[in-house]
Amino acid sequence: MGDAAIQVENLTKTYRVERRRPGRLSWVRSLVAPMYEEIRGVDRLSLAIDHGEVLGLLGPNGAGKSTAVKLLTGVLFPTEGRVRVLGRDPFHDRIANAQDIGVLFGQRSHLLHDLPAVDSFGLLRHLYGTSQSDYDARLTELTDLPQLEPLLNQPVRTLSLGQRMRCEVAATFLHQPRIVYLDEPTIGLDIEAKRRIREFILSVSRSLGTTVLLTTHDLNDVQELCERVVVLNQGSAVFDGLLGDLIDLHASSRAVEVDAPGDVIEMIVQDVSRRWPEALVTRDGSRVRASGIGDQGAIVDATRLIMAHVGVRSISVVEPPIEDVILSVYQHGVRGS
Amino acid sequence: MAFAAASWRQSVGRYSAVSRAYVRVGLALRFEFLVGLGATLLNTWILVSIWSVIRSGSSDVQAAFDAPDMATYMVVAGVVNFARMGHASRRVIYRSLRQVSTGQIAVELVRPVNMQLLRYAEWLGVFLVDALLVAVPTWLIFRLAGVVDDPSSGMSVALFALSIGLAWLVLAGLHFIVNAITLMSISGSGVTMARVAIQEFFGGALIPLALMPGALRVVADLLPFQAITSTPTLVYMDRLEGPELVRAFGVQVIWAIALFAIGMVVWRLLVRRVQIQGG
Repeated sequence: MGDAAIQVENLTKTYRVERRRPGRLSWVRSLVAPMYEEIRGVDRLSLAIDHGEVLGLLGPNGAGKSTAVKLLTGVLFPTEGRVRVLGRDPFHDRIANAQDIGVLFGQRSHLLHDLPAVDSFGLLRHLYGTSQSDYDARLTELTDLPQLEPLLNQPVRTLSLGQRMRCEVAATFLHQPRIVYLDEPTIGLDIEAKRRIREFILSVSRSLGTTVLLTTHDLNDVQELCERVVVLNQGSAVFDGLLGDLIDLHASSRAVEVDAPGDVIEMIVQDVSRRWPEALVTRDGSRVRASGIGDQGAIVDATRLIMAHVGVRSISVVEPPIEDVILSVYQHGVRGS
Repeated sequence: MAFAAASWRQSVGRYSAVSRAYVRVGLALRFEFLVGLGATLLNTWILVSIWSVIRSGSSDVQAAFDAPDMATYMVVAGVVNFARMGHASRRVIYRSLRQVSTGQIAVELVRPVNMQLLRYAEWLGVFLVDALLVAVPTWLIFRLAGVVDDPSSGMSVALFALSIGLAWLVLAGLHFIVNAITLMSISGSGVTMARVAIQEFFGGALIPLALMPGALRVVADLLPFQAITSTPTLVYMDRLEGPELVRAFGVQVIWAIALFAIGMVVWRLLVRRVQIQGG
């Protein structure tokens, strides 16, 4: 914990947001005496990220993901709490911290709008003090990114969103940062572009041992890139652990599916409904699906009970879709924690 | 010592690369140059015409400027009038102001650069393009039309170039302070409009400072704007000599340093208040 790449303790960020007063001519009153409300963007967040780890930061819109990234990158000054990135305070040591990090804000651009991307890359080389030979080697590696090379000499303003994002990812990794923050890196991309960007992030982070903090709404990003996830809701972490554990905690959302002859199915439905009255049992011909049975032990009991019936052709335990698990965490917190 | 020299070299390389990139940004806007050049020519011609009429009916103006000097003053002031000059500069400066309201400032803050030097370097790049593609052609056209006099000597040209450099530093200092204030006010357009109006008036771009009434002249002398337009124009015309010339350069240097320092302090105070708009 002490030598984690990123260490965050009780981090809080509050904002003052202007609110319109109610009633007629409220805009005049707001002009003369604006009314403000204090919002907690991040609320007592604590977490540690190890060197080389790829962590997913999840949460609904307004959960505080982007604010957290901006606190960790030194863009925002925390209201309370402590952040250490590679041992430094990212706000007070902003320039030294920036040298070691790469940041991709999916909705903002690193590139000079009116120039080809390769000009922005050249500028970034100077800004980060990268030697010409390192830059050339890195650029050669990065042009392996899908269809990146033809885009490099085209003015950025003429690129599509997907094309620009490829250039943005390349710009983020160009100076070989030790830590990379990816804030919605696949936003707006088509399925194929998303897949290739993910592959690229995974291969670079593994080969260089880059620590990656990823915020996303795309759960495929999380499943393919992250072992560990932190789920934020209203600025606070409501889950911090392995993605598999999060799914396990929602084992009651698992379902058991059985295929058997009609008379056997009938008996299975009766037995399961009697033993677990709260379970949702649905029948479709020779197949039955039972969900809401309970925790891991209950699932094991249910499979034993079902297998005791002679004639069962197949039985399987179906994991809940990750979307449902995450949604459930947003809505109810972590069951069983 | 060697480390300091290497670090200095690296910094110069870093920020000069920014200026070079912004020269390319400026050159990318070809159509805007024609528009900018046309607007500057028109604006300058209007001022030359207005002051020609005013001069013909005013003995005070006639006493201060003969007819060629009056025209030369208005053309040179129009050319060095940084308040309006240059569409490339304007575009980049307004873009840097908008970065706060659009949240794009976050991207700048995650780079290993001093924000003040970064901005100065960006503005220098587009200023050089505007100077080359707007200011010089404007002067040349009025020169070919016989409206503006040449500088009297090579020394005058050199002193004029020096005063332009110092004037630019004063202007960049003002721009950066407006930029820093935007961290708090979110929109910088109101402050910028006010700056342009005040700068044109008190800088001597609309009325030569020598023709201002006493109280206004005192105010103009106390403000930094005279160092931006009036001083380079008067240096071009050889109207400042000896101690007056030294004093005028001294005032430019003091304002350049003071505004840089004020910008640094204001930025440090306000950067803690940054709220990234739009998530």
